[in-house]
Amino acid sequence: MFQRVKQLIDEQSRRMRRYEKTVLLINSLEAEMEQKTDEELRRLTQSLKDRLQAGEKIEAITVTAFALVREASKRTLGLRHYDVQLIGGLSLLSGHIAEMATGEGKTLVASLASFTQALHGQGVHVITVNEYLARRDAEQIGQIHRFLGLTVGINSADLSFEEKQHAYASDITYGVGTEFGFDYLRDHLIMRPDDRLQRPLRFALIDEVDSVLIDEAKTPLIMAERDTVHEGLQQLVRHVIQDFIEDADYTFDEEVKAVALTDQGIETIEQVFGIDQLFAAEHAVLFHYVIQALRAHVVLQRDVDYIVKDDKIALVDLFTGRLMEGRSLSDGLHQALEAKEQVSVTEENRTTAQITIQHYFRLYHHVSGMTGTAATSRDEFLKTYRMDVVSIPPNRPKIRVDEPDVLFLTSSEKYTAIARATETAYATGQPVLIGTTSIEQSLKVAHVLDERKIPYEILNAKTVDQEIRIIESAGRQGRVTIATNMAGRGTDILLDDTAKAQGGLFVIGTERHESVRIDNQLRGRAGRQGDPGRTRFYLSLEDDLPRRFARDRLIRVKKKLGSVTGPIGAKEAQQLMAFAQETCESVNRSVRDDLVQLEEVISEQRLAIYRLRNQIVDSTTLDQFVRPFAARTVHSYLEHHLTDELVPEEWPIDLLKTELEQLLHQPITLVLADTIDGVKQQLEPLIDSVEQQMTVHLAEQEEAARRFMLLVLDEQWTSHLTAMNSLKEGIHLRSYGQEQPVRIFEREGMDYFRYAILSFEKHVVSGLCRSEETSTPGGLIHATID
Amino acid sequence: MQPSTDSLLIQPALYFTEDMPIVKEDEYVFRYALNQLPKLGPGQLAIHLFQVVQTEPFQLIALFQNTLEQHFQLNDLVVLVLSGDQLVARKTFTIEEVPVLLPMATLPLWLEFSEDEQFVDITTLATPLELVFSNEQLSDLVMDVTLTTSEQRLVRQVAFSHPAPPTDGWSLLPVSLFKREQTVDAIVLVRNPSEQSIELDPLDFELICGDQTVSTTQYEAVTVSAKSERAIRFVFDYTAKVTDSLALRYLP
Repeated sequence: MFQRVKQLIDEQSRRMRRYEKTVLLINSLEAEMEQKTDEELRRLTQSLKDRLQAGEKIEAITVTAFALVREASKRTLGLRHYDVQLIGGLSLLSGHIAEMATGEGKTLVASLASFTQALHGQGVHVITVNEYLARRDAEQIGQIHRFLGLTVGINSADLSFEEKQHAYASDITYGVGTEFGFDYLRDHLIMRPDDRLQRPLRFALIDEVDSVLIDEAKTPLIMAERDTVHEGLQQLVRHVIQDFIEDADYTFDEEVKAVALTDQGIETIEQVFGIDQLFAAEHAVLFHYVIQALRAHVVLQRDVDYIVKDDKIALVDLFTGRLMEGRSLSDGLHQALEAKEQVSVTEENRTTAQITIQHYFRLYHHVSGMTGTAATSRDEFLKTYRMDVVSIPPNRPKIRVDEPDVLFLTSSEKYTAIARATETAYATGQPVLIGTTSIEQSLKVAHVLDERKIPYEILNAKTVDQEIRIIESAGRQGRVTIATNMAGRGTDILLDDTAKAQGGLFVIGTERHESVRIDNQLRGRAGRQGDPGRTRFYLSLEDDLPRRFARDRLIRVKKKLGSVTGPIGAKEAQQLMAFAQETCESVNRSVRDDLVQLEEVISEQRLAIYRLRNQIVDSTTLDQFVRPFAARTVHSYLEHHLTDELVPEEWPIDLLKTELEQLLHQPITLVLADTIDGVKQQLEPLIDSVEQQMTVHLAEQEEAARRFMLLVLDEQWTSHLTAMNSLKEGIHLRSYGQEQPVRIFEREGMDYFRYAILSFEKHVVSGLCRSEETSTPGGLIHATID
Repeated sequence: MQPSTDSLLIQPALYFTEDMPIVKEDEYVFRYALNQLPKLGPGQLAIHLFQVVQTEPFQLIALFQNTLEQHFQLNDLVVLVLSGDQLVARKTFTIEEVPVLLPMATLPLWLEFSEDEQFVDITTLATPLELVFSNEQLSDLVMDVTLTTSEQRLVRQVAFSHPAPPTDGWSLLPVSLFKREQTVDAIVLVRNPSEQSIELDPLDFELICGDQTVSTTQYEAVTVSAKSERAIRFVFDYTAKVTDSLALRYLP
């Protein structure tokens, strides 16, 4: 352990020495750059581009490129990059995470790496936490880039297709990560090459990288379409599972809210629906309905997770207790809930494409990031993303004071103490920022401030622009601001002179967050660029974290403390809070780790499907592409019916013949043979004929066929995604022997995937052998329950 | 010791073809329904109603089951739709309409009935529908030109609900008596199951109320072709009361 720590420290030191040497070289060019005219600087930029084009490595031009940016910044913005900012830029260029304290000018640092990488001419994406900052950075830093002859674009959700195309064609494109992710998904739902927005993904520079890659790890980007749920099957499944008994037919993990069928439950489903293997890929649809019905029946509780109102299901926000009007659960879960409560069944949101933001950024050739708080998550960044964290020293030393936590027995005492501390600071004119973990907590703080008639600004349900304006002015004399931790992130709090004189910003934390890193994000609001400031967390044993993650220790400590009032000094109580936070961090890390591994399976499959899709969109020789489908499809039917387990006389030759005739829309001749190869040989002329038919069809109607193939592929992928998401549900509750859940997911997911690919090829073969238009049949069937 | 008959019972597996208008979810609804059906003995053919798709025109999905060891095809297969004792519809399926019935298989089939093949408004029925095979041969049905569509429907229902008469003669089958303001209309089927055409002299009928003859009438001489039935209409001059219980008698 110590060896590892030492190794990391040595590595950091070596890297820093290397960067410092490079900085000296950049500095040595400063005078020369100052002598150049604007036009000469632009010509120099072009020459660097040419050198990269000629095959030189980026390291060979970095010194000149950085010197150019520093000079351009001086001429356009009047800002000169500090040496430490150059170090930050170098670490970004190396694909690392630059950890820089708030106010150290991360935006200016980004200009160095984004410019240098943009010289490749293959596009650079600079990712900000919101659109406001994207616009601000594109306008401000964009001046440097434009001055040097590069183009700058902004990608946002409100742009037209042409505007987006223009933004993506720029050398440097600013925008929010989710929008880039959605564009990637949209690019894989197109029908023509001209509809594509993104170029191959080369370099992304992510601001607040910890938010994006860690805090948002559990939230996938999802594109969905409205679809009708099959009410008939839904009713039947509900009818079957409503008699299921916990631990006999299914297991339920309350902590992670996951359900899984037991062997008995699986057998019941298999028996009722007359199938052999519920987990077989061909029954993924049924499995999906069963899991969703079970989740609706077991996991979601009426009047806790949702209420029934006016013949509708209304979801409840567990954090605020408020109704989430207009929100619905996806992939048929909402409809399963509607069936359970016997209200009108609405249309479902069917996932047509999904990607986690992490997996999206993994698609880039190079990724780097910046944040004020990454060091505490260094191991996770290294392990999951192979990105190291480089702590950049501040330009001016930090003088912020992080005061020790104050801990109380009850939350009411805690809020009283927060109000008192705010009152004291407010009386002196020192600005106060009170960071909360939820809107509900913000309201509680507001209530105690109201009681003491302390004026405040509260960031509750504000727009991004309003948030930023309030946060920007939170450093003025006498200002009290209540905000959830994430509000206005990326915006510096500037102190006025009086506020500085009164000790700078006082940051109050009202609860420990789920990780030290997020606590540090809050603390980092104070003490920017060597400003004064102080931080303190006010905690209570009634806080969420100890209740959830240190329940047993909490009971012991409370018992020991009795009914004390005032701050608790007991070491054990203080340790309890740290223990709860560490446990929470560890649980979350493990959940993220599992999720990344599970998502990795889907990610590989998505890449394969998207490669296939791109081939169909771009191919000018579709016939060569589809020809192998014929043999694979015909042989799959053969392998399905003719097995070595049966003697040839038992082979269902009639059935095989009928199925192939229906699939291929032509009469075929097939007689029993002694061996499987004997039957296979008889099918060779059929395969030739099918290949021929497909070639003719493609020659006559290539565009219609291309469209047909894309629609079939999208439909198969959508069904596959639904199936994979169902499979993921409760995977940790399933175990076969010693097999890891992730391995089970990988193995069964691969079966599902093969089935999806084979189904795609089968539909394409069948469709291209049919002369008239093919259409997807609709479900006409309803259920009858006796 | 006799082997248990239960052990010989079979539930032939469901089989779906590419051209069936169903989605994957439908398959499981079929599978569930199949599991509710009684099992069959070896060498049997059965038909069950799966569900009514629509009433106008009448369309339903049936499950055909075959526990024979080999596949076969049926021509002129007669299927009756019953609601209790009432004949609701009847259809003869040709070889083009019924696909090959695979060995040991249950096959869903979409059946559509034309107006001529449906005799009752489905929406008015209280008793659930069921399907049965019929081995009756169809004979031609000739309608009197004066019969309305609903009367023709009634004629068909009566004709197909009754067993064919012996082939050595002809017979009469009353279809309906309808009380009008000053008359009573009667419809009767003249059935000729024989191999040759027959020419009948004018037919005399009596209208009976209770045990009294209240009116008589004569229908003109009629020719009925071989293996066919002819629906005729005739009128009695009689003003019937609502409460009158009327009957028809043929006077040979």
